[in-house]
Amino acid sequence: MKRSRLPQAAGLLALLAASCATPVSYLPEHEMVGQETHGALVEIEINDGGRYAGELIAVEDTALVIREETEGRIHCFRVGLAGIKSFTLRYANGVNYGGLVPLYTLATVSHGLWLIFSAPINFLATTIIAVNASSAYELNSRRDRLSFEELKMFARFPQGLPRGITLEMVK
Amino acid sequence: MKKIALVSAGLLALALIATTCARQYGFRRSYSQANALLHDSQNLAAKPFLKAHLRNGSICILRDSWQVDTIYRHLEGTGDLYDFNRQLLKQGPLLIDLDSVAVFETNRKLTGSENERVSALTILAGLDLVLGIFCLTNPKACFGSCPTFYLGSGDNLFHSDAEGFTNSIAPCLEAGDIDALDNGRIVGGRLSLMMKNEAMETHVVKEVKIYAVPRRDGERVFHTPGDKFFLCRRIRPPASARADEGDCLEQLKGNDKRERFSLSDPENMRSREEIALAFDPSGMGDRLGLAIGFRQTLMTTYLIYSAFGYMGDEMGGILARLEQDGPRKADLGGIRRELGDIEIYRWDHDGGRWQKQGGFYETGPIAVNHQFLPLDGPNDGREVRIKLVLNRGLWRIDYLALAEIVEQVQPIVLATETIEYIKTGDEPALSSAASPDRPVISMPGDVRNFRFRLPNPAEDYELFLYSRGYYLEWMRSSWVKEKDLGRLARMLMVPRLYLKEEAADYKRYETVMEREFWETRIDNRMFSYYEKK
Repeated sequence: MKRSRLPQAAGLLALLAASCATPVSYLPEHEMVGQETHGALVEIEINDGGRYAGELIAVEDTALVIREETEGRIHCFRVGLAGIKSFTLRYANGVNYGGLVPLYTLATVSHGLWLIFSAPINFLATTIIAVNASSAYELNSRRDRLSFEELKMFARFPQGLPRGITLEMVK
Repeated sequence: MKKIALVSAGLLALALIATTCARQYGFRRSYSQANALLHDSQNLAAKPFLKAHLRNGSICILRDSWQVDTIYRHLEGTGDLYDFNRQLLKQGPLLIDLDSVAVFETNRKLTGSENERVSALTILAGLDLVLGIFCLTNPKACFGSCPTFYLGSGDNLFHSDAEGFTNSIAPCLEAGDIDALDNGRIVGGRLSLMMKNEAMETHVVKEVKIYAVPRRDGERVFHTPGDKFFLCRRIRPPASARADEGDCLEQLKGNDKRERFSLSDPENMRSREEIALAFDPSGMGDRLGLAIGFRQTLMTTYLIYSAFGYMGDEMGGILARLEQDGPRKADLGGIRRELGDIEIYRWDHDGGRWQKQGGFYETGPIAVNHQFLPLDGPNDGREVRIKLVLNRGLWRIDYLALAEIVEQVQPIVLATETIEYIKTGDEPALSSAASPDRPVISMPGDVRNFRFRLPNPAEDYELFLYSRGYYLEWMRSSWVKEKDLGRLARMLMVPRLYLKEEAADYKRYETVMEREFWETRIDNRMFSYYEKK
């Protein structure tokens, strides 16, 4: 009998789901979103194909202000609105259900031959739930028709960069 | 079933995908004016957390006790104040000048979608649990049985099934088995027989053939336990039928799956009962025979699985020794002999006594066996009285009928024309149906179609399945725990005593399992040894 590749596939998808939901340190859990002090994580794709990701500091008339932290170094910069192709926003860390995909799939071993049906159903359902949960607190400029004006609500400074504060001062 | 599962999966997926599409960000609101904030929050039963983004970049997060004073133009409440780099400046009571606030922000709690996901997972876990429990309590419903054959599910308008070589649980017990397919007329001259492995077993199928006998309207062909074939007509149900429970004619008069059965004796699994029948033979020919449709209850399955359980982790070794010890094979028949056949007796009107005619025995509770026994003596026109002596609680009898024998016939043997491996279309490497000297090895879940061509498409045939091979039951981990070589020895060496000792244990499960078996009508449902505990 040919060995099923389902467990391997389940593992792979669980890893995928888990990677989608990698928590961001400054983002709150979904219950705490009303008490968060930072801006949301924004991932930007610009017209030339380049990508930026970081905390959304402010939305200005012509640019987004992003705070990026790489290898412990903080870098704050502007990205012109005109050059932005799309963006994705994550305002809370999703719950990671990735581990449940292989768990639910392998649990169907107890179903005997019915696992022919129950394993794909479990695999499919838990994968969808895991992927769904990993992106539950995300907004996308295209899918959710989010304008730059509405994006301001998710910035650290929804009023714009405060007077007297320069990009270098933002930590 | 497959369609239902696919549709269910599709609906589930659609429902889940639908939830992914509904992204809202209305949980967050921002206000540049305090009045707008007051207007929106004054009717709320519970005030949300309030974030006040100050013009200097600081942020003030106030819990649900905040107040806006529009006369003195300040915001007060208990909370935390952070600077523009989100370092905590102050905790506790706060008083903020409204003119220093650039934006007010409120957030509703995000719980809805998470609750939906948890609910979906809970429902799924519940369904899995139900199915898991069902399978643990009814393992054969999920793990199947020895090779099962289904006739013409795609090519013909009717459906029948048979069990192949049920007793052949080891290579040394390899056997051939003939089962009547109780078929209707085959249209088109082509026959398709589906063989499934619905069990946690390895099936080694060495031969699958069809025996076909031409028949005309009103005629049937039956085969005997000794594999002789008789063309019969004028098939007549009993005029009366009585057993311990009283009149049982309704259950026995037709081939309608309404079966007569009894429950076992709680004191002894080897306990006999009788069924008395009377037939009116008027208008029938000189030679008569008794046709029967029957199968077993779950008793033998219980005993077979008990034996495997007693072997525990030594099952492989014991079966290997059995392979090397051919002459002792007969010892395994002890239980079989004690349980006995359905013995058939005919009343001798002249001698004033019962005369034994023969008996029927086929293992397995799934497929109904249709067999025949020619009766001794001619039809003298007097009432034909028949007595069945059978083990209590072992047999399910669908019908009994008196038939006039036209003649003994020889079936036409149809070899398999093609074998199609349904799963992938290609036979596994070690199992080649194309090579007659190589058996078909069927693993759990395997499905094959055996195709045959009838000699004359215009003719109607009575069909019988001949299958030869053996199967290897896969050991279940739960069986290993029940190892008891002493009981195994008693079962094999003093089966009569064993059947007495085991009666109470079997009785406890018989009622429940028999009822479930019939109420659900899942034909391959059985139970295993470990459920006894």
